[in-house]
Amino acid sequence: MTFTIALAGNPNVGKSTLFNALTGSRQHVGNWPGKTVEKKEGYLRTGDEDILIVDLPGTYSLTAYSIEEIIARDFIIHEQPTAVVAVVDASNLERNLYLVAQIIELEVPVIVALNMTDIATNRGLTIDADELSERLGGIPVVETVGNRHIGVDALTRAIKQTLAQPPLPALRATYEGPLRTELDRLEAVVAESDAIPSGYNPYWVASKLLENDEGLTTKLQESGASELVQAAAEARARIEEATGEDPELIIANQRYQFIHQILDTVVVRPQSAVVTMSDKIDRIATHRIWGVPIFLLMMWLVFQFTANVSAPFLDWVDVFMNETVYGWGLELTAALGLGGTWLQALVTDGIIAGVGGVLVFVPVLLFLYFALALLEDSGYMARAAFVMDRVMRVMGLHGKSFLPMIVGFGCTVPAVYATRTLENERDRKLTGFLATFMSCGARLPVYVVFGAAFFGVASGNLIFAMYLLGIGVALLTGLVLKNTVYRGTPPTPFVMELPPYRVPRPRDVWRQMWERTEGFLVKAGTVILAVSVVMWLLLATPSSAQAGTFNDVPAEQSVFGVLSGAVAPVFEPAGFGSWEASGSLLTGILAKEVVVGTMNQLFVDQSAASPDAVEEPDTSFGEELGASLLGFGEAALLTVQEVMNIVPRTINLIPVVDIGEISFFPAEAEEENTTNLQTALRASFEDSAGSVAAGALAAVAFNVFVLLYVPCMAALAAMRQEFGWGWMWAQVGYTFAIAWLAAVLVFQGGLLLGFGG
Amino acid sequence: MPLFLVAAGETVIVQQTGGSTQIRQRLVDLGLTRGAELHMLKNDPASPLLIALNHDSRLALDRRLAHHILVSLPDTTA
Repeated sequence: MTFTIALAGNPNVGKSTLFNALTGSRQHVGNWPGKTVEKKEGYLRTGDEDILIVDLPGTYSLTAYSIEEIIARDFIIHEQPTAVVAVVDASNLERNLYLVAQIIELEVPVIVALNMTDIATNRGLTIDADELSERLGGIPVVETVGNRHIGVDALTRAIKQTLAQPPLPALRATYEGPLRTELDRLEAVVAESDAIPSGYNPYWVASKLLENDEGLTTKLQESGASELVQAAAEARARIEEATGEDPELIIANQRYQFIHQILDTVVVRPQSAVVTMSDKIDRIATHRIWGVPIFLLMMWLVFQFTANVSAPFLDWVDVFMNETVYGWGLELTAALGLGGTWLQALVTDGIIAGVGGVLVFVPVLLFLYFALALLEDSGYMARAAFVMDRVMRVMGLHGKSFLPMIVGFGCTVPAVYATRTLENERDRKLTGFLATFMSCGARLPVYVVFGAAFFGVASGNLIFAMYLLGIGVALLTGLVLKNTVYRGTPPTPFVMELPPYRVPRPRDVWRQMWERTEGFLVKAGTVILAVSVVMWLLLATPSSAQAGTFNDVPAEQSVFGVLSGAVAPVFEPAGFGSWEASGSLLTGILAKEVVVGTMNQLFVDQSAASPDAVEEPDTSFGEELGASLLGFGEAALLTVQEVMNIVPRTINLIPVVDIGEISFFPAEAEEENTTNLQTALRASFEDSAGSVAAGALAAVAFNVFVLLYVPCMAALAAMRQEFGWGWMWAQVGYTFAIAWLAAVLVFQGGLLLGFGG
Repeated sequence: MPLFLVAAGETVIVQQTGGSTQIRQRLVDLGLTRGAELHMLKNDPASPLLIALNHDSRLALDRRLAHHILVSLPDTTA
């Protein structure tokens, strides 16, 4: 038989790290059935058998208030794992044991992993693990430092021992007074009842009923045990009458008392309260005045980092995909005897150009996700939520809503799901709605391309401005909604734990960065590939017999060109009324990553990049590969240079200062390195807007539109799933309207102000 | 006295928590119960409160919620 071990614990106790340490790379990430909460499973190999380890969602409690709590407790009740490993933060034992006490009440074998013991020691706490084990009835207590792999072997041994030999039942919290009397009485009634679903123990059911647990009450009523619910209600009333307090609070208080008594002999605290390093950093990071500037500086650094530092790699991948791989595609199809046929065009101009145009941005995303993972893992994110609480209040939300928004900078889809951590429906919907204005990673490539084409070295400014604009629009929208739709419904109070700061662990940062980028790569291999093929077909199919024949038709006369051309006039007031621009926007509804891919197909096709121009004279495969590797090395060097230049560039933000930047290569080497796409873009926008300066203005307007218009199909699907059809359509309508208005405002306003030259 | 009146640097004991049942339950889950020791780290106008709870965890707490949490100085309860 296979054994199952569940990992349970509070958020931020290093549960995932311990899970990774136990299972190594033998893990599988999916979703809980019917839920959008991530489920991680993995195998612990112990010589003779594999043990399935299931990572439960991090929770503070096992009440049924949040989806995570319901998942965790349903798993323990229904799947009946062989044992539960409760991961507890040794530096915060009291609160962590509250969850352990609840797990024990489920009558499942428990092993306590006393994690982060190093932090506890640093704080001057002395913890007697043996004493803790004894006070809990002899259950195994193992000291671990998950991120340094300390205690993992001991934990594995404890798990094996628990499997081999059923352990003694753990001591559960004892209750006193009227609560005790009623609990005993109700337990007897429950034990008599035959309407209790299997897996539930009478004691737990009785205590949960006294806690007025909604999930369980509904379940019991459905299974025909309404007389139990009735009995519980009467018992609750009696307790309230006798004590004047809610039974659930009495239960919680007595649980804490139980823990308190245990910890009396387990933990020795230093005489005077220790002001931790974390507190010292918090004095500045959450400062009333400095908090916001520090937050903005952090964000500025993140975007400097993503835009400039990744640029050399971006150029490298660009050359690699659009020249080297493009060339290979030509040769390969020619070798198969397909030279000059439509199939060759489909592979090179369709698939390689489309998918390649998107793959180019993998370095950008890697750097963005790296920066976000650093902020998250270091603990700064929670402080950002604290600092931003004041700002979020303007929108009728609170600081905690800021976290899904930050996730939105990566991708809107997880941002919509991340709203589940919020306590009420109103906050969730509003946060999800506004999170779509946080510029996601898929929109970034568009700014990068336009920034490089129109603004050169100042492209970082365009990117930063777009992010700020997104935040601004979210603020305004929130403000309006707060005073109209949501008038009179205040947000739920803001309560959030701030985990201690720590040095980010490379492995965790890497894992996060990779998992998120992987999602993008999968999309590149599926949605974007499909869109590229369909796009190419639509482009190759003439709109009428006169226009041309298949694979031999001017793009503008193709089915796609005619469709886009029909939409184009809508965007004329915004300065980008060309059919190519509208075409890219149309495909962008499917996935914003596709915008750049489409532009690659539409713009580059008509510029100089005809197949012959790319074909290089007689270079061997080996030479090409060598050149690519050399280019990679150069890109790495340039990246180091850009990282170092962040310092002078940041200091240069102060108006009077001007420090020179470092340059590893002679200036001309990295000067004008514009790609075909950039040249073509400039020409097209200048043409549709009327002049060179107006072209730049139209480019900004186009970016504004890309930032604000409908999130992609995937995000809409997520919104429909979470908030319903009505909300989703409201989103579609609103985002289109606001995007168009803003783009027109930028272009026309800019012209009026004289930016149009 | 209500928690929001406690100045930064002071330590108090929780007497009673307030708000809806759901909010109180959440506070309990985080360890904020009757008898818990709170050390005020930050109490700036218009910002959430920053408190150290039972020495170990750091909580950000809504200012309005702090109106409903009643606390007392440790020496008056001892």
